Amino acid sequence: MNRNLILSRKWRKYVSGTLFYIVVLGIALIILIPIYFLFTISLMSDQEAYDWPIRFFPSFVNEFVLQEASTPDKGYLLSVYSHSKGIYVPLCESKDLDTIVKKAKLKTNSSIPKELLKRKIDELKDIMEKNKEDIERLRSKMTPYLEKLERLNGRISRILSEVNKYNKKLKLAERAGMKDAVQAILQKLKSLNEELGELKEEAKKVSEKITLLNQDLIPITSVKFTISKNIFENYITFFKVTNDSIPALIRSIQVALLTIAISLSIGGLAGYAFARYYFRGKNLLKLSVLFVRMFPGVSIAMPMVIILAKMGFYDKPLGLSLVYSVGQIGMTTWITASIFMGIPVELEEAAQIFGCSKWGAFFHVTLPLALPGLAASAMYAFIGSWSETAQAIILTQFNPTFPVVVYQTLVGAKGLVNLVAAGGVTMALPAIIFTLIIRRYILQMWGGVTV
Amino acid sequence: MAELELVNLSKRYGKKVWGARGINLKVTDREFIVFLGPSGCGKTTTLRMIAGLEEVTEGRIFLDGKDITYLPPRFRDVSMVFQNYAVWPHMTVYDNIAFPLRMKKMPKNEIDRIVKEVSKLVNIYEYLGRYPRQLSGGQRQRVALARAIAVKPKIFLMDEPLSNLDAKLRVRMRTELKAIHHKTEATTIFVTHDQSEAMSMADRIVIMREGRIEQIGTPEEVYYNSDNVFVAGFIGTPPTNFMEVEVKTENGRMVLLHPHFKLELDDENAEPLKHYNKDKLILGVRPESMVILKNKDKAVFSERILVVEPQGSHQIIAIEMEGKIVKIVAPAFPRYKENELIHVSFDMKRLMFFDAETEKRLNPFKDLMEIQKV
Ligand SMILES: Nc1ncnc2c1ncn2[C@@H]1O[C@H](COP(=O)(O)OP(=O)(O)OP(=O)(O)O)[C@@H](O)[C@H]1O
Ligand SMILES: [Mg+2]
Repeated sequence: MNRNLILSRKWRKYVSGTLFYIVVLGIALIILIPIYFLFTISLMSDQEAYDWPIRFFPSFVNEFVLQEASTPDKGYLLSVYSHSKGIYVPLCESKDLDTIVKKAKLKTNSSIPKELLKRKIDELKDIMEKNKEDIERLRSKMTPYLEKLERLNGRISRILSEVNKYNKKLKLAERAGMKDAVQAILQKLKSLNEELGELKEEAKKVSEKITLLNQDLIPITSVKFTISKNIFENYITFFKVTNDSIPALIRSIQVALLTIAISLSIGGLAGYAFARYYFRGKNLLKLSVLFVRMFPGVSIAMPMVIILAKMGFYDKPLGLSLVYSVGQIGMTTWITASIFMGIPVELEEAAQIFGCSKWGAFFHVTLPLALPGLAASAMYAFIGSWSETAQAIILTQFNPTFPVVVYQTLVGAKGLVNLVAAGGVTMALPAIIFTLIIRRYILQMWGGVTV
Repeated sequence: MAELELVNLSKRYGKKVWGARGINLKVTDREFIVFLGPSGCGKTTTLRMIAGLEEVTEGRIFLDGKDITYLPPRFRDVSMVFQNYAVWPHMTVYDNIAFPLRMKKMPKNEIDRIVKEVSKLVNIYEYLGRYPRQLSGGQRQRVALARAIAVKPKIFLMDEPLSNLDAKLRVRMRTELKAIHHKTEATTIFVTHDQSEAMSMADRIVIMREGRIEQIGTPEEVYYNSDNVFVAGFIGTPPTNFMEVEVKTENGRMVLLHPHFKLELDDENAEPLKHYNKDKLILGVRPESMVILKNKDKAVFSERILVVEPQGSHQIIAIEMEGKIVKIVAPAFPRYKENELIHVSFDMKRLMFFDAETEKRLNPFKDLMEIQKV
């Protein structure tokens, strides 16, 4: 009895421990996987990004295969190895080497030097010259198989369409309740299916034969070569496509910093007032500060266009940051109010007794103590204004912010996911850098313990 | 030289709540004054008004004859030790002590000298480089003390600085504080609601209740010469026993009548009651002024013991009279048992009479020194 109890308790401990780790792992995965895929896709070439299943790591090199095209007048066929499919997928067929190079670069992010391509073509010709007889032999052996396969495939598709037809008839007959007809149709279908099975079996055998022959044929009719992939190609393309994006980036940083300055100074003071002073309607006011956040940002931006235009702030970073601050101030007020409430008044009063004015006490004591919290709310304001698109689209015209540029690229790129991913990562980067800088203040410690 | 004078000092919170009301007090130079009273009696309020942290509703504050009632705290030349120390957590111990001096724009080497001197005085020299979080409560308290001493204020204000410490440390700090006071000779106002703290440290005790001062006096004065029922009941552990008695004159002698006893007064005790014309008064007898006798002959009354509380050096005996618990302090031996019948008499020289209505003392002792001799 007692032993059982101990055992069950032990088991429960194990189970709860395991569950805990599963939950933690799950949360980590939920957070990390999307970010990880965004990042890897931003490093992938077009060809890789659309492969399924998507690989876990982006490749650093591309393996190419050069062959003669199916008909001599089409020139050469360039294929690239697909890791997920395990085969070489054709990229392009052309006589013009420039076209091949261009297409390869677009699809695989590898720039093949033209010289190399020429050399490889010579190599290919060489090999094919040397093994002329073998190629002839193998090809002539293969031709009947190919023809047979074609015939078989033709028959299979015919039978399939017939099966379809009978299936429809069967349904009609069943609905009409004609038992004899149903019986006859079922009979027919059965024999058709048998025939289909046989044909498929045969086709499989034939294609096996062809594969076998190909294994001998391919090495003497193609050349392989490997070229490194420019892993940051997407980013370069992104900045080229959005040639306005560097000034836009700078503008975005300006807007974010201005938003921090405005919302932190106004919201911070309001927060301080809420924390330290008692006045009529304080709670109501505190709630209503959040009220503005309940409206969608766009609805605030619309009327703002007119006001900002009249004030001369339209299409300027300051105008945009003013509008962002409207939403941010409420949040900052709440955050800073709770921070200031956490700092005992006595610390300020002590400063007042020991030689500070009220403002001096605030600057010497309260502000340094509130710094971690202020830094956190600065970060909040930064991220809020950094990634905002909807209002920025409305409130800018010729001087868009970075997210607007990314958004426009996204719309224009028509599903170039890897390019969009590169834009996304670029957008996250300054926010990450800012967070790293400000981290020092958020994790501020005095004597090893956070305040 | 620092003399503080509070004139009719009052503080009202909102429309109705009086934090302090009509405080009149003169603190002489180098004096150690203790504000004592139950929770919520206005000690902190008064102290904060002196410091300038609380706006004064009525009255004046004079420091060395100068009116400082409306002066901001930093110009008042006072320093304060807060109940929760209020040492700045983002500064090292050194900076905590040096900050007020820097605010005074003192030269650097002068500051350094003072900080070292003061930190040695309060025994925190080794911790100068640490942050407050790395210190124990007692050490933090000393940092607050050092900070307050360093500025050499005219008045030292302390708001229950020892209340967060454990009992043992509290007693030790009490002694240390007293020693520091002797060294610095700074005029000090010390707030506490612990009467043993007040008795052991104070030159004079100010006893407060509900925002008003009940009595000002030396520890002996407030103990033996309690002005009223409140003070007599507040000072001393266990508190004074109060009994409502009838005043009668029998055969030309004044007697006090209680349902359980009849007490004949001698001339000395009867003298102050000559002009008292109400027929009831409150008799106050301190537990240590009751004597347990061996036999019944001279006893005032006899009663059965309810509870015995041995205290080591003495024992406290509780009996019940008229639904009230009466406590008696007796020597450690002989040991008494519960339900035992004891015979009790009073130390006639220590009887306290209070007016039944105003609760004011009727028989102040004339000479305290004489009482102490007895
Ligand atoms: N800010 C305030 N607003 C309203 N009433 C207050 C305020 N501060 C104090 N009071 C009231 O004033 C009275 C005196 O308060 P005070 O803090 O001076 O008491 P205290 O003697 O220091 O008590 P304690 O020993 O508990 O510290 C109390 O009744 C209290 O409720
Ligand atoms: Mg208090």
